Amino acid sequence: MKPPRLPRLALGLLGAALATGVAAGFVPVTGIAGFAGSASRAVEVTSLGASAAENARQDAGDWYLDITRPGAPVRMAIPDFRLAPPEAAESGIRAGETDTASPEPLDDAGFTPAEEAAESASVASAVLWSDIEYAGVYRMLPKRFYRIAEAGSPDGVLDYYQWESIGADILVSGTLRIEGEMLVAEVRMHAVRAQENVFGRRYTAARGAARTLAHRIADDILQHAGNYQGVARTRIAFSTSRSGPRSKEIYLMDYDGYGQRPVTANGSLNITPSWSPDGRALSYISYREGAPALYLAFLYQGRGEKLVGDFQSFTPAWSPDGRWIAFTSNRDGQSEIYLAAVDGAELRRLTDNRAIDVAPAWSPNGRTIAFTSDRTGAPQIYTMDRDGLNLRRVSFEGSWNDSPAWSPSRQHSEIAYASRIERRPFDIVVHDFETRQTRQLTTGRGSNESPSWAPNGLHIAFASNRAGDDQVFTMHRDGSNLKQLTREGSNTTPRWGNPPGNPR
Amino acid sequence: MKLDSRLLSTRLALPAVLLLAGFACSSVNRTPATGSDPTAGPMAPEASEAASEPASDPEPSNSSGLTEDEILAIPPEVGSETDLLDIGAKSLEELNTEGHLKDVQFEYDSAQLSAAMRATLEENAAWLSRYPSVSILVEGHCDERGTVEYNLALGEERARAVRDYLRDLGVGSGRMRIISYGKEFPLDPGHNEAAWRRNRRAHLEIVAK
Repeated sequence: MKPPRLPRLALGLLGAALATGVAAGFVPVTGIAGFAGSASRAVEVTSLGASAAENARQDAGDWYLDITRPGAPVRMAIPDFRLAPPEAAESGIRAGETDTASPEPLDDAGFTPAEEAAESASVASAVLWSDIEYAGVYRMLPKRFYRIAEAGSPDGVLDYYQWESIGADILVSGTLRIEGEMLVAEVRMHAVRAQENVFGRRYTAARGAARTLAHRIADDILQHAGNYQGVARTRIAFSTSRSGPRSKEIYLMDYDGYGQRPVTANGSLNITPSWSPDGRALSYISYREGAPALYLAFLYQGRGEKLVGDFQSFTPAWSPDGRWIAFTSNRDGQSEIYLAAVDGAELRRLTDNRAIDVAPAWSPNGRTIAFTSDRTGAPQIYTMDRDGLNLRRVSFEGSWNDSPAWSPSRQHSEIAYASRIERRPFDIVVHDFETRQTRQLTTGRGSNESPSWAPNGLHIAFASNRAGDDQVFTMHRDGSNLKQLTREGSNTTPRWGNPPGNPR
Repeated sequence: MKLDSRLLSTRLALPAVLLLAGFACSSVNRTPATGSDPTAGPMAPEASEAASEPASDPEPSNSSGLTEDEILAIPPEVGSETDLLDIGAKSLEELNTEGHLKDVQFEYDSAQLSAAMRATLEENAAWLSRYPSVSILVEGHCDERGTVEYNLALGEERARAVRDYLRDLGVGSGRMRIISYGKEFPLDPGHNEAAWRRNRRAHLEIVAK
C-alpha cells in the first residue's frame, strides 16, 4: 500500500473542510487545508563516505577553488539518473516480497514498478537540472556531449579524462531505484580535474516524491560545490482569484511554480500572506468574518487561528525571530503600524500620525522596519527602528512607492519596492543602502508589484500584469532570468519563504 | 440644547433642509407608489436638485423658515404614511440592487470629498434618515493602478471619509461600519480611465433593515 501523494491528500482535506462548512452552514473557522501529509515528503540523507577528503574539504569550504579556472565559468555536467536494480542496494533492503516471476503489480496510476522507477528518474533528472541551472552560477554542459564521455567510461567506471575532454569541471552523477515504498537515490559529485569524488550521499524519500528528492539533492550540490544557498526547497505563498468569483484564497507553490495548492478554503477574501521564518506557518489577512482580520495558519498542524480580530488589519509581516507580526491597523482611527506578539500576549503601536502607514517589512536582523507612508503627500518608503524611533526616508524618486521588501542577503544591504515614475505603471526597483543608489529591475512591461526576496537574497518574486491578469514571476536580483510561475486566475502578493523547519 | 443648536447650525442644517425638501416632494406626490418601480420614486430627481443647492452654498443656513425646535421635531417617519418603501418586505439584496444609496467616486490617490461627492452623500443621508432601522457598510475601493498594500489603507481612508461625513449629516455612528477592499474587488474589470473612475469609489451596502 503506497502512501497517498500530497496533492490528492490536500485536495481531500480541502474537500472535507468545504463539506464541513457547507454542512454546518458556516465558513470553517480555520479553513486551513491540511499539510499533515507533508511528512511523507521528508528526505533522509546518509553519507556514502565518498572520499576521505570530503568532510575536511567541506569544513575548509575551499575545495571548489581547486576546480575553478580564473575568469572562466565553472562548467557542470549532470547526466540523467541511471536506474539501479533494487538488489544493488548497499543497504541490503530487498524490494518487497514480490517474486520476479510473478506479474508486476501496478500502482495507482497503472505503472509497473519498473515504469514508475523510470518515470521517477526522469522527473528527478529534469528537476535537478533546472534547480542547478536556476541558481545561475554554473554553466550547464549540454547533455548531448555526455555520450562521448560515457562511451569512454564503460561499465560504470568513471574516466575523469573523458569528462575533462568535454569540458566538465564538475560532474554530478546519480542512480535511482525503488525499494519497497521508498525512492532511493545515490548521488556523487566529482571534481573532474582533481579526479576526486568530493561528495557522495544516499537520499531516501517516499515513492512519488521524486521532485522533493531532487530539490534536496540540488540544494546539497549547490552548497557543496560553491557554498551557495540554493532555493530548490523554498516555497512561495500568494493570493489567487482562481477558486471562484468575489473570493481570493491563499495558495502556495514550490519555487518553480510546481505544486500550487490551497492554504485557505473559506470562499472569502484572503490576501497578503507572510511566512514565519521557519517556513511552517503563514500570517495573512482574511475577510471571512466580515472585517479584515489577521490570521495565522500553521501548515503542518492543519490549524489556524485569528490573532487580531477587532478593527481592520492589513499587510502582516512576520519578524525574523518568529515572535512578532508587524501589521497595519486602524484601531485608533488611522492606518498605523503595530506589532502583535505571535502568542497574542502583547500589542504595540509604532507610528502615530494622520497619514497612511502601511506595508511593514523587517530587516534581516529584526531591528529595523521599512514601511510605506504618505505623510509627505504621496506614498514613499521609510525605515524606523522596531520601537518606532529613528525615522528615515528611503525613497525620493517616484510619485508612488510601496511594498518594501528587505533583502535577507548577508552580502547586500538593500530594499526592493514597487515604484511609479510619473504616471507610468509600477516597476520593481532596489535601493542599495551602501551605495545609496537605486537600480531598476523591470522596465515598463506591465505593472510590476509586491517584490519578495528569495531566502538567499539572489532572486525576487513579484506580481506583474504584463501578460494580462496579474501573475507571479521570479527573476534574478539583477533582473535577468525571468520566469512566470502562475497562469490561472489573478495571482498577487507573492511571498517567498524558507524551506520548512529551516530558519536562516 | 445649546450644543444641539450649534450642531444644528453647522451640521444638521443640510440634512434638515434635505429632509424638508423630501417632505415637500412627498407632499406633492402624495399618490402611493405604484410598486412596479419603487426605486425610481417620484422624489428622486427633486431631492437631487435640492441637495446640490445647499451643498454649493458657502453658508448653509436654515432657509426653511421653521424654528430649530420645529426642525428637530420632524420625526424620521414623516413620510411613512405615503411613499416610503416597505423595506421590511424587501430582501437586503433587493434593496441593494435597487440602488437607493449611491456610490461616490474619488480622484486618483485621494480620499477627499468634492462638492459633488458631498451632494451625493447628502442624498444618501436623507434616504438613511427616512429609514432609521437601516444599517450600512461603507466599502472603500481603489482602482487597479495603485499598489495592493497601499490601496488597502487608501480604501479605508475613503470609507472613513464617507462615514465621517454621513455622521456629520446626522447618520448615527452605530448604523455604519467601514471596510476597505483595496483594489481586490473592482466594480468594472476594464483597464481604462472610465473603469478606473468607477472603481475609485465608496460603496454603501445595506446590511440590516
